[in-house]
Amino acid sequence: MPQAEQLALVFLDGVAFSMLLFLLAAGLVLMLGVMNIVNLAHGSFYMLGGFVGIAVGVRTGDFALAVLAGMGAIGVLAFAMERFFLRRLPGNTEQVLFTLGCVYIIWDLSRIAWGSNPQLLSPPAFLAGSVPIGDYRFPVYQLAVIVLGALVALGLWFFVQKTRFGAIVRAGADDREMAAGLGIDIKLVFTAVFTLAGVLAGLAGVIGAPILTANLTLDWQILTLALVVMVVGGMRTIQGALVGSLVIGLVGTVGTFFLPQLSMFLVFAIMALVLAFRPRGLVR
Amino acid sequence: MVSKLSGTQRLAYTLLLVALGAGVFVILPHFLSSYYVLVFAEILIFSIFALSVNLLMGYTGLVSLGQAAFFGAGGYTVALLVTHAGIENFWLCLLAALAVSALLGLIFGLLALRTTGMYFIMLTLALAQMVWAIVWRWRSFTGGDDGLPGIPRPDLGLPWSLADNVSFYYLVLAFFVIAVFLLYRIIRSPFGRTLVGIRENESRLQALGYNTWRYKYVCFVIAAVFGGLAGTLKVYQDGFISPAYCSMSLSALVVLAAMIGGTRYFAGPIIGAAVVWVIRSIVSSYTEYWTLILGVLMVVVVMFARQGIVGYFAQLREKRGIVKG
Repeated sequence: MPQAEQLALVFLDGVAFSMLLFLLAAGLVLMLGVMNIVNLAHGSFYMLGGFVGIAVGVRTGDFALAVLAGMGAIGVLAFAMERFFLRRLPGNTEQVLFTLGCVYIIWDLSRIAWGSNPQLLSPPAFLAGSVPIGDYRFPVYQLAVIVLGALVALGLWFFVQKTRFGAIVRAGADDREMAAGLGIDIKLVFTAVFTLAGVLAGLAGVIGAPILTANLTLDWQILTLALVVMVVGGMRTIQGALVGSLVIGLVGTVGTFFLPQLSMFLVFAIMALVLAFRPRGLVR
Repeated sequence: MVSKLSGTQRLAYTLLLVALGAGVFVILPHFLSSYYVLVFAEILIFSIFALSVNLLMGYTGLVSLGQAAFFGAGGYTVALLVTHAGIENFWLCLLAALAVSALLGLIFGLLALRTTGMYFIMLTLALAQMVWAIVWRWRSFTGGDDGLPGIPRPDLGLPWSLADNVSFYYLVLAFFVIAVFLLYRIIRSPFGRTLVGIRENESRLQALGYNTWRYKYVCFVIAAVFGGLAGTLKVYQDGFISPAYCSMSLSALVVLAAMIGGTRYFAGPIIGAAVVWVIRSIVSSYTEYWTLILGVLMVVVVMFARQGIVGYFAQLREKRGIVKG
């Protein structure tokens, strides 16, 4: 039997992974709520964010700069996608299919630019060490990711529930026509939400790069996991995204530790169970 | 969609086109190199596949991004029966493949059809990715990413062999004709009309007393079976199967094919599949940027050509009719 310390390590590892998933799922929840679309390129945003972050981080040696570059690049990309393409399309289905096309474009451009080999980013020097847990050691970096994820979750919750712009976002999600009728520039809200989701995905991509590496298989992998998170969490709320991320991140990581062959299956089994018994997700 | 032609004229046109198309497809292999015979067989197979996805997308208004799950289910059923169980009988394998696809359709339909719109897209995608992940991870059974090689061309007990590409092409053509006939009948039936009604206004049909869920469910399973049929034929063509058979890219490619051809027209997916596969077989011998081209093609079609090729010509004909009239 694994010792308690070992379990704690796997647990923390799972929470760190959950936080990456949360950054993506939160963006997807916002987009689905406000714009009623699912951005299939969200995994691609994550992947591209990682590649950009690594390119900048390796050249400058500055991790903070890498994070900013990843967030900025994906933010600009998301802004351009929404402003110049999505908004011109007549229906949600067309918008989703547009993002599907973007998945292929981003994948092939990334392949041309960075090749098929996985790339690694070193964590910043001040987070490079590890802390002892019993006889084992846990990387400080993963702890920092957990803290950052928790802060972003708190920030997003505050932003959506307590600020004026958050109220506008919620109004847009509840009743688009009514919000527009009250004088809210709903198009601007769409652009802002899509860009914000892009920035979060870019952030996840860069801070995930030291843990998962950046490689060309991440786009669909991460998107699939983020979608499973949404199904499990309930698709509608930031809280749901957080719960779903924790469930899927922990099941995936703990499952990999005990039953490496079955971990993916476990993740999907949970999704199927949730769909069968709580089709509207764990958090309603 | 509204045609200005009368019923008889329309029928004559259709018959003429079908006869012409059939003639071309029957004679074709004798003018082509062995490689292009296979490309054409592949086009026919993917036409069946694209028709199946369009039954959901074009007629019922349910965009499925997980159709490759059924394609892969059909293909893997055959591959596993042949390589693990040593069953060589084509009809048995085909029947099993269709049954497994139908079963998967029955299960996935139950889960996915609890939802509509965006949620349906997300669920079909996630469920298909589940199939992909299982096939990818279950190495001992499915061969993982190495796939399963060594599936011989089918033996139908006929006096001639199907090992050469031309004979195999004719087998595929036969199944294509059957599939087109059946799907056409389905779409023109009261059942098919109801599906279109669901696409246009589901709540109205519900108010009229239709159990729309049941219609969508049956449609989903039918689409799954035809997807499985396409996968079955493809695995016999390739003699090999890999997780690419149930990949996300395949699901997306077949949706793109239907869109390029025109989702509101019966022939749309067939034309679209032909266009996509011709472009692919030409492009991939010149550049390695097929994926990029695919993405750009998708964006261009979504942005500027949503009615598809068939839709474009239908509109053209209508305009001319108006000018004449």
